[in-house]
Amino acid sequence: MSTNNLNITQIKKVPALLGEVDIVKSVQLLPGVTTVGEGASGFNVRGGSIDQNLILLDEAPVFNASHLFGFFSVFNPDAVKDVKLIKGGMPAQYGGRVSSTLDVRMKDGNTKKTEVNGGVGVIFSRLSVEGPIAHKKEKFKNKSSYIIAGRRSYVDVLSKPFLSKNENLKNAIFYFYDLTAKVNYVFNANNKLYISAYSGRDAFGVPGALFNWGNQTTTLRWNHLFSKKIFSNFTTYYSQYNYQLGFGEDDNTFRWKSNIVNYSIKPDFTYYITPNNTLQFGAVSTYYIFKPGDALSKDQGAERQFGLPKKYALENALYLENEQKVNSKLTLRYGLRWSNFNYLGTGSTLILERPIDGQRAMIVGSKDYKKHELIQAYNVPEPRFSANYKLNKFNALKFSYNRMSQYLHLISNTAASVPLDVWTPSTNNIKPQISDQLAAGFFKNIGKAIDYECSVEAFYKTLQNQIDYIDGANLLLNNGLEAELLSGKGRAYGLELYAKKNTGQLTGWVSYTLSKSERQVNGISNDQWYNNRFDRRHNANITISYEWTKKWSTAVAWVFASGTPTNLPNTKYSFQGYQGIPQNPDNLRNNVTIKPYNRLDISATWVRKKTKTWESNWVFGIYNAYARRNPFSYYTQVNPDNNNQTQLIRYSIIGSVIPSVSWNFKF
Amino acid sequence: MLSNKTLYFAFILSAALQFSACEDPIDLNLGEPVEQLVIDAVINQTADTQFIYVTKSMAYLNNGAYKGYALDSVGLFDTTSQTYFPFQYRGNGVYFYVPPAANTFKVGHTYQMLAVDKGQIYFSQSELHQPVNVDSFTYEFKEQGAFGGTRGYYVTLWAKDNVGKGDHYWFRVYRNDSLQSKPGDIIIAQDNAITPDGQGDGDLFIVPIRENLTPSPYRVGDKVRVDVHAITPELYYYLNLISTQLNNTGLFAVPPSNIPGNIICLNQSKTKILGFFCMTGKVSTPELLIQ
Repeated sequence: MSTNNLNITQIKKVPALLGEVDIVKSVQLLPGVTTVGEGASGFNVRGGSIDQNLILLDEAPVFNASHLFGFFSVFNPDAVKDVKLIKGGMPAQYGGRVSSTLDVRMKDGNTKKTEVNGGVGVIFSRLSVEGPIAHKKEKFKNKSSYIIAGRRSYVDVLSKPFLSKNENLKNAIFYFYDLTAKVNYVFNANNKLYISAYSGRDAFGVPGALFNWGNQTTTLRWNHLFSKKIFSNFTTYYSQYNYQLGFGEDDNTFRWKSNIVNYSIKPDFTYYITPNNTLQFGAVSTYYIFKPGDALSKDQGAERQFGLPKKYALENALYLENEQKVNSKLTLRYGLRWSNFNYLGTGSTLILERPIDGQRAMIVGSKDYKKHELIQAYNVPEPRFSANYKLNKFNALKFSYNRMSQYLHLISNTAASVPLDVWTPSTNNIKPQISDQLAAGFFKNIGKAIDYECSVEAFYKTLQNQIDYIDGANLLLNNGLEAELLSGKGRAYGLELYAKKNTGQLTGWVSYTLSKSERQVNGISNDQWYNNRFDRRHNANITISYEWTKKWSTAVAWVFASGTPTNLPNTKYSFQGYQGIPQNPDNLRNNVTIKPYNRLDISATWVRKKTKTWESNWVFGIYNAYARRNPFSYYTQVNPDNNNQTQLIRYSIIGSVIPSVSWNFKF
Repeated sequence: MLSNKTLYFAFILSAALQFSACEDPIDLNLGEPVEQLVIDAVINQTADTQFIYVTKSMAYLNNGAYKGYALDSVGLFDTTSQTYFPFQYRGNGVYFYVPPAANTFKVGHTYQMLAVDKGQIYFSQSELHQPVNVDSFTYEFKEQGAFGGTRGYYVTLWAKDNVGKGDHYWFRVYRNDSLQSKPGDIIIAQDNAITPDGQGDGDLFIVPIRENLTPSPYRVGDKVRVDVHAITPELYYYLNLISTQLNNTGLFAVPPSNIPGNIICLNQSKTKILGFFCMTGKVSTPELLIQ
């Protein structure tokens, strides 16, 4: 339950922004999933923040799943097999984030013949090659394969005419690329090896300033069958996210680098004890290195280092879970995940005292630790339980409870997450986030071939140790960062309705979510509960595709979401000639709700040619078909043309119809 | 504090999105405004006439002038020399004091501001810090400024931070006699830099300060002058928050927040006063004529 599976064929049917099929954009159409707006990275699941989603690409975590600040995700659809979003009833094998798991699995590649896929679109071009790998033994022929897929944007080329109007952006660079590759090799009936890797980068710069960021992941998985009853996967992976930015030239420069790196080993076992009991157990151990900011400045040639020290941590987990078929109607899954987190030296901790809630804490001392010395440990037992009761062949009731913990936190207080945001571990001052979620639902399938799937689910989630920020917090390159963080409680609850049609000429799904997501932090909003930034009361999506003929198909997607809450001042004053300083006398957080979001996208696919050796199609799309200027945010500002006036601005990322055309081929 | 650089980045990031993003001024009911008392008092040691401005805050979308407010009295008390300096009322919330000579208000002395209004006493306190020495103030023609900007004349302020860690400064630019006070004109420093790392104590102000005194370059015929105020750390933080709040736009805006001032009501701690009181050690550069 609380799980949505999307295969790449379904994802490819969804009308996409600028004609580019996108996994995260498709996930945003599922019940319980929202986004703060176009151009915002990530997604929000059941009222959680974006860093509370564990995004896995072949087991390796992806720390920033966005290209171009959030317009596209890092997953190349040509290299993706399927996507699973787990919002609740989390199996014990997953952990480390408190809201959801998005498990993206890469395609293994064609085992029969070499195949080339490609596409030319408005924003970028894609090319992938896949094919079989030879094997000495006839028996294992056509079992091993590889795939390599790449994309490169040419926004910089296309946006030049627009950018050149702006003096500061005339010579801007602005692009991204990514490469995804996977090899799977079958040694024999009991041993298979998978190697997959991803590397992507976004670069953005103007003369005198350069900014780039990207992820790299590598996964090595050995799949081994001990016996017919015991099956195992030994996985080791590496993942990192980094960014760097720099200004200036020659003797007067500023360079800044930041990254998060992790190395993991993860043995997983499945033991089919009896036909009615399947035991899953395993462990994971991850070593993290955080480089929050390494800065170097040169002034008249004189160099100065003023970065923040690296941080180190070791996260471990053990899990055991049994799936038990109690009888023909009832299936239970119960287990425990034991997570353990160790914040390690070399490092120096801050000892804080906060005399006034909501204000900057005082740094009253610090303590130094040697290499690999334990600074702070946390242990969280995480019970996982779910029950599935079949009322009859087509109807089922499901229930789940799970506890999850999270030891990594994305420090960000902007409306949309910025690539500059820094991941930080739990420390002596930053406690792990913990969530408890209850969910219950009714599921109905209609038709022999499961022509229709329908569900109604309700969830209630509480969150502990949610990070918030003091007013005017300085989050970057700040040694005293922990003094600017606050900790509070969260709660989210809602109802999700979902209906999906799987067969026939018309396929698609409809979803509606009614939910609320709130926070309470001492010292903020007069200590009252307030709606958080990702609270969207109503959220409805309709995604329908229709196959008219073998050659023509069309798709429509309509999205509606209540506006997100925001903070707005209602008075202003001036100080020393600086006009329009905002003031909110009630001091309430998120006191205004912005206008709702709604959008219609349509697309048509024309299969130009389809033979055994060559296939090509054209996809014509219209994004935001009724040209709605959806507000991303409201903010106040001093009128740039008149310093004595202030104004309220509705900020929309996309304000017009965006047509697109792309051509895709396969041979 | 890295605010200037992050702001600059927020600027280029949001600028990059501008080719598709739209910003439309709109009207919205922001709720009934509650007017609050604002005291704006920044006093220096020079012989110039010193002012304290008293106003009321007003509805955010009201584009009329701020209303001045008359107190019963306001003045400064030198706690070191035990002298009181009463300010006189000129109307529309403006109070003034004409010092008999420079250094009537003395470096190193601590001053208290006392304002009385209908039985309420408003209070604040500040030390007067040592001004810096300006070595020179120069200009040169550049194809581009150190932080973007078009071709034109750029000025450089050659001055060193006072020796000793923990000094704070505020730079105010006068262009053709007009004080530059747009949101992008808030320039402040901790020791010689933007970040408080203490490594540059006593050195020249770094490039992002000394060469970043104008968002747009100067033209031939322009007159430029900079006042450098040595300020308290509290005013530095206050100005830094003002800068964050006034430049808080676009995709990467942070939630707006109220800025705590340093003036309190002695009788009723719950009464909130907006504004700030600070004594500054001011030095002015010579006026430069671009030619």
